[in-house]
Amino acid sequence: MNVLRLAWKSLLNRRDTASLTVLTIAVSVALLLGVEKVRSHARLSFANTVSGTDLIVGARSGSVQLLLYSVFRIGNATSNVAWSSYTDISTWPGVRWAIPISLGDSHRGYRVMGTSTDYFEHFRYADKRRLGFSEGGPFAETLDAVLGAEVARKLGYRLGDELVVTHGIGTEGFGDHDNHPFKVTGILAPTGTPVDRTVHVGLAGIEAMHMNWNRVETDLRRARGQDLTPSQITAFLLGLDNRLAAFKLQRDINQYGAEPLLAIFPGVALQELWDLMRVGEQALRVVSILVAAAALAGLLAVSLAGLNERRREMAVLRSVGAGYRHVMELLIMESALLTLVGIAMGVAMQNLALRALQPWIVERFGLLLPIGLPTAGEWPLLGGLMTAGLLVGLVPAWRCYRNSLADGLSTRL
Amino acid sequence: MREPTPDVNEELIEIENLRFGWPGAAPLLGCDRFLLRRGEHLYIRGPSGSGKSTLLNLLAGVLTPDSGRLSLMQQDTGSLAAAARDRLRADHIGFIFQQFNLVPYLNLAENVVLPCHFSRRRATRAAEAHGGVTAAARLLLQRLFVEEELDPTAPVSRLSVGQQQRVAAARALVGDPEIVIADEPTSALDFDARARFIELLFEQVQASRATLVFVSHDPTLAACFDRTVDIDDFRAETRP
Repeated sequence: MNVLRLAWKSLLNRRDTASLTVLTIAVSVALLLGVEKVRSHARLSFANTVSGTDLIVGARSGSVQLLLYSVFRIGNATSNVAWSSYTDISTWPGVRWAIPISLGDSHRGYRVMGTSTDYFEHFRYADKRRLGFSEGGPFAETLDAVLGAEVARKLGYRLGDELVVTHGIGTEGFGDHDNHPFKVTGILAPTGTPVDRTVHVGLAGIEAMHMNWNRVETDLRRARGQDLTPSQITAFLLGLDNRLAAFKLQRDINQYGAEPLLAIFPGVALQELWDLMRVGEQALRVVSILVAAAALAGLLAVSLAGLNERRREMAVLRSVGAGYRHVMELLIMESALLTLVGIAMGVAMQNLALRALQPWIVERFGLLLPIGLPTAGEWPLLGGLMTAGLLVGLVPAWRCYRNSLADGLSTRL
Repeated sequence: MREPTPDVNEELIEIENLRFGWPGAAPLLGCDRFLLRRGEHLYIRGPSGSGKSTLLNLLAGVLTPDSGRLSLMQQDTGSLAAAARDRLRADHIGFIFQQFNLVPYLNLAENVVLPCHFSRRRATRAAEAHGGVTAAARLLLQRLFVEEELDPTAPVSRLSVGQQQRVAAARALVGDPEIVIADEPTSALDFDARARFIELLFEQVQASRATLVFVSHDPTLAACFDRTVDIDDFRAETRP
């Protein structure tokens, strides 16, 4: 029986306090890992929202605001971009593709985005992945709609269903354009981005709706060659032939003569936005680290409180030949074992909790948090906690050493 | 570390001009000359609080003299590092306390074999004599609990004080250390248990040819020993 087994048996003997200590450590580990997981995946899914777009162009406002409404469908544009500016810039040399975006309407709480079919062709998310259709295909007719995965799932829409778009962005808009329903022609595969929560229609569809035309009427007027080209849009996305040209193009757009425009790099704006949220992120992290510290303080308190009643045990161990080193090893080993078991239990708890909550988290936040062993990013946290547990063990070990020096071989205490 | 060869006249403990006092207090112990030879059964008489624990800590190499010499197995404890003294104690001394001898989280057999984990020498001896440390422990327990059936894997918490003392004796004897130091091992026992314990202890000490140092304030026990000294002989005040 080495000191490790001795420590194990000693802990089993005090299993009530030991298991409580392990439980507090486990809870703190589960929390720490949970926070870390949410943090890293929120960040990842955040960075995944847009990819492959070199510039986003909108009316002059702030870069974060432009990013928020054009990509995250949060907030509104303060002013629009003239259609002529869009058509002009999209023909500039170096521009490979341009996707117009027209926002401002909604359907039962989900934003409606007017765009062109180029959107399905060129828009990329995550690691340059293109949008895929789980059913149907892009809109073809003026009053066709393509639904994001969540919109279809939550509202129970199938291909061919009709939906009514509301002007404005609340659930109850200022007036339903109810005599001109859109027809679902496509449902996108899930992306884990705001695309899932968007109803996509053609720009012409937005125009037709605002002119209060119904489906039959629209077809008739179109047949008569009536123009459904919008006069203005909200923003547009640009893809370039050469990313190095982006800086020059950005400057040119920012100095565009016809109207004040703003061009932003999505990556830079994402970073700016994430920096804004960093305070919250760090606060979350600090809280979970403090919880871990509290658990270790509990471990320390339990170890120190037990020392006095263990002075006899130590004297007996000394009498059978244990040196100070053994006695100190025993106490450090006990702390180490408690921390180790606590960490293992915490990892298990975190996985069990995640297994139970995962459907809800996916539904509510669109975050698919992985279940399983800690990831490379989490090991250092656990390692740090293990080290802290060992360091905490040094305190009772030192105290015990002092006691042993004073007590010698005496069991009459 | 030098391995001493067994010898009938071998000096296990030798004291010369020893002085010891706790820091800030008057010298407590003093002894000009003392010898403990192999096979002796020594009775040290002394009441509690007479410096007895300090003397035992010196004999066991936990404390070292302020001046003079205390040799344990022909090695000057004052010149050895703490870890070396711990090894010396582990290899050559078995200890029995007045009470609370047992480690509460180990079972009977585990308590008995405990010294063998800190002393390879005692583990080897137990293995050579009995085929293994656990076998040695079981044999000793059998001999010390002749009239009782005892499960060696039982927890120690349900034992009576008398039974605990016998388990402690088995532990002190396992692996045949040269010296067994018993610090008032019977003072927590009633009369019958005391007599039985002394009898069994002597039997087993003799069987393993160990040297017994028995400290007690009970004068009726002195008759069982071939040599008696008074704790006063080790006290500093009596030798100015």
